Amino acid sequence: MTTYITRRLLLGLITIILITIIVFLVMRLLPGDPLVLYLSAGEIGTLNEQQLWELREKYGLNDILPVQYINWVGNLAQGDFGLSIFYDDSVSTLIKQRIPITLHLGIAAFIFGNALGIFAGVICAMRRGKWIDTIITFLANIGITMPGFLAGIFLIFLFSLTLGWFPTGGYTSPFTDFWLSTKQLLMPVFCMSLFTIAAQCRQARSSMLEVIQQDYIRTAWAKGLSERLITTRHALKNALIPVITIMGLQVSLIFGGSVLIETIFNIPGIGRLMASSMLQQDFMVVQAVVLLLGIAVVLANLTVDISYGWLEPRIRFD
Amino acid sequence: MSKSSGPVPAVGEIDASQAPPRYSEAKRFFSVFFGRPLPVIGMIIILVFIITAIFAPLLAPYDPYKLNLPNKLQSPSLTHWLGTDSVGRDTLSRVIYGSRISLIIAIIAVSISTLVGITLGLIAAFFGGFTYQIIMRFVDALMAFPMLLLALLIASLLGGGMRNVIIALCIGFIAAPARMMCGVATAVKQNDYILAARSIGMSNLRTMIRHILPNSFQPLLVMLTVGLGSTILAEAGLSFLGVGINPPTPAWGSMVNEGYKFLLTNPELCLGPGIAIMLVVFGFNMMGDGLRDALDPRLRGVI
Repeated sequence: MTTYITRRLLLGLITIILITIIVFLVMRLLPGDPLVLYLSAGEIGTLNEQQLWELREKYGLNDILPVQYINWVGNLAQGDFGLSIFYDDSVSTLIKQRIPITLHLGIAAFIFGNALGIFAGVICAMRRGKWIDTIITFLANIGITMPGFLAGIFLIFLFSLTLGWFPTGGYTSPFTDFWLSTKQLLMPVFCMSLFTIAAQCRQARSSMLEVIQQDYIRTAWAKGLSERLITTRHALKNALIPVITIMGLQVSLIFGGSVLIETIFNIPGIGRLMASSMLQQDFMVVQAVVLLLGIAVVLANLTVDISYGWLEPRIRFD
Repeated sequence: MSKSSGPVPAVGEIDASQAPPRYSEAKRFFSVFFGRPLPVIGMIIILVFIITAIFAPLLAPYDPYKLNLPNKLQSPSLTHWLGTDSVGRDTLSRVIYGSRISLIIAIIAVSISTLVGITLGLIAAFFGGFTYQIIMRFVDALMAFPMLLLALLIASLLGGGMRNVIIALCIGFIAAPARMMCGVATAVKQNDYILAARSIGMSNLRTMIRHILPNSFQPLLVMLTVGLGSTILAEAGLSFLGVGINPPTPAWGSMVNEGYKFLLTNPELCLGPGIAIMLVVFGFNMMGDGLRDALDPRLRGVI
């Protein structure tokens, strides 16, 4: 197990380094002056060649790319993400204020999506072919193709504007007003977890159906165990393995979707920070958010991989 | 044996009735694909979508760019089925023309990213070793990114517009075909006929194109179908956030964004293009599912 964990950690580290390289190359190699990181496009337009060259010299943009990369990563490792042009504040401060909100949303969506999805999938498998299976499978087919941000707009139209049951958006910390916070979060969390619910439901259903055909389940029935015990102890435990494999993918989708969902529901997390910074051409912020979310996804996948190795010992020796 | 009542066939002669039943791949494909409702519904949606895109000028009742300020923000009526937007343009006509933008971007972006992706995957699998490690580690890192984020970063740097959106989506979508192709090619490479091809002196390029590429046809077809749907969705997301197709070009994503402000008074401005995106994505996904099951059920869960 130790070798397995070490190998995974190393691979994760390599992936994180590659992610920084990809973001760096995107920022430096795409057409356009990398000075946009430090100055707004308007300011760059007013400067002449000589001044631009001096500024590039000042920010180290005239060095060869590997040197620039090492300097940049060195700053990142010390938590220095640069300065935001628009907010006139350090990017790390901006992000620090907003991370708890995005994490609150994302973790809630992850837990809610997986729990509801697996539960629905197990029910479908246990009642295969009955009306409840037909209905849930149909809903899952819709849910898997429904874009989260459109679902958000439809829900706001229906439940906030027409029925007036929920606020249209906003965010309150659960420590100030727990009830209001939950009411505000219900719709965005549902939209963020929509795909997870549907995908995990389909996955749990098909892997449960596979498991309950196994001989050991027949044995369990034959020795007179209750349905509940067979489902939870014998079937579910084995059926969960493929379900856990795709949990890592869910983290990536949930955080990727946060940019759109936070914009629609007006939630001041790092997703909306990225959306507004894109429009303000504040690339230092955009770059930092993309990097952080990318690294968060790698770390989540790492956790999934390691717990997977613990659940399924065979995988450790591949 | 009870069926063969005729004389016993001579040695070496083949009795047709003893042969396994004739098995038509095409027949099986059609019976599985058309056997269930969802893939068929998906296919119909996509056909309607493509026909709408091609014949947009004939189908649209009005000019999608024509301003008509006195008639702004009208509710749906017989003259304007989906009402008009904040500068009086007919929403239905804009949704119809929007299908063109979606389809063109999706086809170009998916073709380029698939071509580049499968080339990278083929090279990685065929040469193995160091080349494989370099290419596939980069592909893994690209896969780790939430696809939309990378496309957003690139599109915001390049500053929107059709060409830049296509570039952003291409880079975002290279990883999946590369990984798929690498997997298929690594498996095919083990076969003896590849060894045979090499032993008669077939060049690397020819071996890849003649022997490895055809084997990837089935997963490739499924991937293209699903990829078109997700590219359309990603483009809508980019345009919705304001870094995709810029107004006044009628793109569904930016129409949803413009209409969002009038959700309370004129919901059809937002819901019209929104439902169009939803239907098309649903269509491509369901058709992809159907194709996968009909072509090769073993691919279930792999792509």
